[in-house]
Amino acid sequence: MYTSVISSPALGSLLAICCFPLLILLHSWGFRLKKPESKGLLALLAASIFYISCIYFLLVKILLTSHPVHLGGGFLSALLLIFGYMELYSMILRGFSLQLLSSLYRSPGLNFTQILASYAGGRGIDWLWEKRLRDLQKLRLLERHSTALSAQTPRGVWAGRLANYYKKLFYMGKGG
Amino acid sequence: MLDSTLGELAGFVVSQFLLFYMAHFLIWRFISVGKKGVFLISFIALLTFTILSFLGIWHGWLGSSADLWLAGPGFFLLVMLYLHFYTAIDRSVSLRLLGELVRRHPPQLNFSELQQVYASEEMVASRLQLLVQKGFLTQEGSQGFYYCSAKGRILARITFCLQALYGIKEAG
Repeated sequence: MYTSVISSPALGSLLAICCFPLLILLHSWGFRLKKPESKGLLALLAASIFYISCIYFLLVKILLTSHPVHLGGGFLSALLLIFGYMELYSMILRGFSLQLLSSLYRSPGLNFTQILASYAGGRGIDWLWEKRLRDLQKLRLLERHSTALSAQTPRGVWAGRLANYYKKLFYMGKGG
Repeated sequence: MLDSTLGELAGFVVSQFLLFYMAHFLIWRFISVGKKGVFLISFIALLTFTILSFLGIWHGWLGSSADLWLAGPGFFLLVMLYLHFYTAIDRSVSLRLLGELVRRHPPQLNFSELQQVYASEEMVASRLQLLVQKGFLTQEGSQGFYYCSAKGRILARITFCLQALYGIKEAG
């Protein structure tokens, strides 16, 4: 039984799945240590490096295999899980729909105007705008003046153009 | 155990991804905006992978079924990266704002113009409509009061648990 698992081509992927809870635990622990948002990605990067190192250590030092199917399958599966986890993490941290759902779970039976005011624990929808504008400014995608917004930086212009072009190409509607 | 060379496997994975992308592109031209989403993309990816893997083994493009343990994670990793890109383009409030800005020459909007092209009300209304459409919310009464459905309540509880795990206080 033990030998058949070791010689299985699925070994790397299985190890990546088994070690995955380690990534979540390390990241949530690191996230709690640092200030949320600003250091969240840094904590995730550190947890990911540790997670991949664990898979490598288990494969090469404990199970004594360096076969390309085991190593490649393990690393690619680990990267797949990391990027999937990143999507989930980003939804929890910034998900607009999830936040609307949470607001309505806390206070059921709100109408449209009340939802606008009660968004994100009563901070209101303007708080979301403020947060997004602050992030775009930080990333230098947008410049904020006293009465206007502008996308003067090349990367801001290219990001906006790419988004518009892709939406048009795939008939995705306005988005956002 | 590895019956194909790494180059052959990489070629197989890239071909699979290109076929998935073409299928996604074609399907997206014929279905309505409401039906487009990550679940359908994931389904197309799974279908492409299953069919091409079967053909790959049958026609001998892959050395053996063991090679799928390397090709599979590789293909789904590319799909996952694409999903990140797609979600950002489709759902991101920030990218929508930048998109509205670059439609102008010079790329500039004052706050009243911004309210016209991308109002907060529109942003919330479109999401509420989507949540109702997907069965997470229900709308009741003449004044349109919103309630979480059973599915919505489960998702909200999972969100609270995960936010508590990370100690997130300012989500959204």
